[in-house]
Amino acid sequence: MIDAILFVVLLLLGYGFGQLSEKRHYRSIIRRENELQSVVVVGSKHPPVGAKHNQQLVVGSVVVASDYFKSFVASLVNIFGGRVRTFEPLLDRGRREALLRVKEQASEIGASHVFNVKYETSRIGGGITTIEVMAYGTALIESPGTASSVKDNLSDAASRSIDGLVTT
Amino acid sequence: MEYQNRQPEEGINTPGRHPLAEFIRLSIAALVALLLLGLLLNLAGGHLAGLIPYRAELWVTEKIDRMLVEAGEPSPFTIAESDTPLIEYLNTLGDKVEAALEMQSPMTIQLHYSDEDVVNAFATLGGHVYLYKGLLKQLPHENALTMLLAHEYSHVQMRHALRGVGGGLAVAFGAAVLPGGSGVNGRLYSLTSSLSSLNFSREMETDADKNGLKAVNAIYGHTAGADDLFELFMAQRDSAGAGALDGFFSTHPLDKDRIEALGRVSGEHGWFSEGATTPLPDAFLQWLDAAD
Repeated sequence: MIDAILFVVLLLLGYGFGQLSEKRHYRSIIRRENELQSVVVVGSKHPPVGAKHNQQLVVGSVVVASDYFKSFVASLVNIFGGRVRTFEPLLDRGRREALLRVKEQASEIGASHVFNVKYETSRIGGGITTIEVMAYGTALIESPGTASSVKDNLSDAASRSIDGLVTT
Repeated sequence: MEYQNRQPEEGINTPGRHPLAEFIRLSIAALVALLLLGLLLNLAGGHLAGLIPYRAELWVTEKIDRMLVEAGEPSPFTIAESDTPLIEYLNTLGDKVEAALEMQSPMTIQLHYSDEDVVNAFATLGGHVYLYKGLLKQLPHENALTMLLAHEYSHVQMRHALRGVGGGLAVAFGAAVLPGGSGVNGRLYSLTSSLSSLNFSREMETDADKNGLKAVNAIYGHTAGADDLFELFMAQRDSAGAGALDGFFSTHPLDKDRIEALGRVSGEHGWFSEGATTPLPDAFLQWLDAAD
């Protein structure tokens, strides 16, 4: 009986706090994504040719834990298979937060573009699911005193890019 | 051409379904699936175990007994060499029950008496039947004692102990192969499967009651007094304060349901439910105290 009460309490706590922190996190993510929209992240491996810039590795890493409620629902999905819907926002938040940290770092060092951006996800720890999402890329920083900038030479790079995130 | 990061719409990588709806949908589905799995495995395991020859059951209990005795542990399967008046009397009555139930060799009963003040009796593997002083001393007449013996002997005859073990093993196998069996799914499964095994257990009790009543009728020519055994249990439980959900979470059916069922069975077979009860021997209570 104590087991059953503990289970229900954990489930309620997991649901309550999990939903609260998820909503709060999404609000923060959306706000910061809007703020950092000027920093462009690109999947392409090919920076623009001819631009004078310094390069620097930027890494954003985040660790997000599931809650008891999400893990319980996910374990039920294990019986039947199908989409683990409770984990989808967890990974979505992880990826967006990691990329935001890349952008924040890039912005701090004065870079307007990050090239060759990649994600890595790994599960850490036992018990309740905890994931680490890491995003990294090469930030291009304008060299002072140069006439041509990354932006000026982007069209050249874009024409050769096949895996850019968004090109227009 | 220029690189640009456009903000994608929200909700592309998220489910768009309320987590509570998902929880309710999956919980109901899992409960139904696990309940069915537990029922099926319990049924199959019990049925397969029932096919094991009685000789094999005896062989196993004798082996377990030897192991326990060698290890210096108490064994429920040791054949008691007792010739107290109580055991002699119980065995005489037991022989009549065996004859009435048409139990045949090698199915023999080993009666054990315990002077503990427990209101209970049970039958286990290998035909070992345990009777406790706490119950025997409250029996109002021989008919109730015969019903008690006939009920326990019926468990042996119908292989209930072995079927219970078989069902339990099959359920445990299910837990071992269930995805997430060591986690939450395992706990949910153990809850649903214990409910299903309680259900089977209650069915076994009802079957043993019906079969036992047949012996009481064969011995006395009527079934009067058989239900006094369950009246006794009911009084016992009332004084202990039973909960409203006892019928659901109990290994045994409710006493009043059992009494009603006995009346129904008597009626169906056209057995007399009225008749004089046979008193217990005068020295019965002294025998209970003496046979420690």
